[in-house]
Amino acid sequence: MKNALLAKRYAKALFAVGTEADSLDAFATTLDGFASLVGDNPELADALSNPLYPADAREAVMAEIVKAAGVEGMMANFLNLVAQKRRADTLGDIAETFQIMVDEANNTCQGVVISASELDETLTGEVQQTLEKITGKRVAITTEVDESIIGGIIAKVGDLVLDGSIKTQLDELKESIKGSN
Amino acid sequence: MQIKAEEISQIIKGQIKDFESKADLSETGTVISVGDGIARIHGVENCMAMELLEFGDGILGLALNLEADNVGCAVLGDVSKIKEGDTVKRTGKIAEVPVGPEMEGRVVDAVGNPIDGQGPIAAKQTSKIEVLAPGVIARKGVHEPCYTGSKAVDAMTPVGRGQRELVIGDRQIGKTAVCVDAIIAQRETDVHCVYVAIGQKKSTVALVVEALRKNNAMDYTTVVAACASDPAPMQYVAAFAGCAMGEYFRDNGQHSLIVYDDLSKQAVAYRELSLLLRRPPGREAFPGDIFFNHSRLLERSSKVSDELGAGSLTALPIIETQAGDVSAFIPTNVISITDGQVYLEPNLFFSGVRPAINVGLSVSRVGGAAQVKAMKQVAGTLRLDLAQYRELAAFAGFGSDLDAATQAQLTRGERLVEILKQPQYQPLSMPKQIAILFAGTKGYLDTLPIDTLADYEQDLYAHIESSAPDIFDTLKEKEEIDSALEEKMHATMKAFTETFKASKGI
Repeated sequence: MKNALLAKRYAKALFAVGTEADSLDAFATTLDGFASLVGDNPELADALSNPLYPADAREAVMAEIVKAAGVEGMMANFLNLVAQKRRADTLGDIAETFQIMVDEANNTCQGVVISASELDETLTGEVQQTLEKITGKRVAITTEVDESIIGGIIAKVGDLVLDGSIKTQLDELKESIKGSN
Repeated sequence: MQIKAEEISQIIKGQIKDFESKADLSETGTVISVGDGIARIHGVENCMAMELLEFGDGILGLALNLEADNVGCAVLGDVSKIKEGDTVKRTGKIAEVPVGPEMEGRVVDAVGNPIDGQGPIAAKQTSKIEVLAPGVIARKGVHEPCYTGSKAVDAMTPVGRGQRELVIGDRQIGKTAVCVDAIIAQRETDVHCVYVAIGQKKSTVALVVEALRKNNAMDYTTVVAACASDPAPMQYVAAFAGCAMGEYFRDNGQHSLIVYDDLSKQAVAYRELSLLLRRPPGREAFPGDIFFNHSRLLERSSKVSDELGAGSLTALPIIETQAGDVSAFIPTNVISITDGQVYLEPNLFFSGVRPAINVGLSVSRVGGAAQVKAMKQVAGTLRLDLAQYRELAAFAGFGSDLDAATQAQLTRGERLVEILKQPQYQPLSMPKQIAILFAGTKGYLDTLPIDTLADYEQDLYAHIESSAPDIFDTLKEKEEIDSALEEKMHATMKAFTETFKASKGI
């Protein structure tokens, strides 16, 4: 979180460009892909941001990846700029901030549903509808499976957490028994 | 307490049956950084100022700084259990503490949790720790006395119910003693007491609690303790928490007395908190709102109007000075906020004048209105007599040839100083105070050697109680010395002084 301000600046600039070109969603997808690529490959992150390598070499690496990924136009320029300004290590933060800005513009938000077992589509749809009712926004849902919650679901949208898991209820029951003695 | 295993199972069974399972909707954030009693949190977007935030394990935090991308939060508890990345929940509650008569007799920490090992507190009400002081219309002038039981204070710097009287002085010269005596003095009255210990040693607090218990004063007293080992936020909040507990009585038409022991330490705790929250430092590195911190706290002590029940909250804040320096930042601030001060001086303390009250520098700005007529009658000339005595005493040190008038004034002064001395934990009721001051100001002591005065005082009380109890009764009832009473007092004093002299062989 330490680069929140920095990420905001870059994201804002990209957002302005993206709005003009009307390709916000495309930008968001690409940026997200890049951020996870860098996040998942520590060697790549190292190659892009380690000051041991000469600056122009790092820029060249970025340029190559951009070309290989088939990114063109403004997005390519942006990624090269980020490398040039030696801010490749903040790509993750930038992507996150950019996503929030795009979501806000589209009146949507990102939701995560955690369940103990895989949810079927109707159930996911119902959860989505409920979340949309609560937040008043369209909710894009990603699902996760975490067996440690035993049963029920936990839904997160932004700061809001809707916790209906068996684990939490058991914890609360434990507290209430402890508390009354 | 005997409880069978069967019963325990029954209780648990009942609780499981009644346990409502409901989805828990909460707003959360994550801890960015934590340390020194401060946590910075990302998220919790709708967080309010002074809202309580919940870390895991029941640790609470107080949201103090609301910034664009993070919330600065004072942790009210053990910081070492909080990690970076932990989830923080909003509680939606502004910081509050339990209040009410159930709190009396208990020792609690700054958030109202009992720390005296006497089980949970069944308080029915809670109250916000930060509330606005009563407005102008809601108040009324201070008019009833709040006796501190100390002759010097009650006679010359009287405290009224709803007044804020500062007790100021160096370390170890009896500031706490004056205030603890004031709490003990409320035993026969309807005043409820709160003693807030801020930044003190746990041993000191234990001693005070012990003293209060021994003198049966814990029955109507709540002790709020945020000791030196507690984190700064707890020490800062303790004063406000104690105030909220005292306010409960004020707002229910009752009377209460709160002692803040001491506000210097509270200011230091607030300075620490503010610096860690990166608020800009000002004079002596205190934050800009250190004055407001004290003024809004002390402003809550007030006498409320008849429509609101005529309750009162009297405050005795304590300030510790460094080597008698009252012109330091915090002492001047608090002096200017309060309605007068009792100034304790090391020189007096070490020369045996205890309580070591410097009569010249101590004032009470509103207490005079709260003094009963009888006290005004005997104490009216006391301050003047003492002032003249001090002046003469300094001057008389140079020469031996003094005229009779000067000699008389010196004799009177010495005896007045002597009778204003008072042992600890022995507060006196108003009639007793008046009796001894009457004897002093009317000259009955002038012929007695100074070292017999302590005995004289005790014997006088015993004598009046046994042979002329109606003097005390009338004083208590009428609160003034009318001519009939005065005559009777003169007669009693005269007779008693003679017998006392005879018994001592003077």
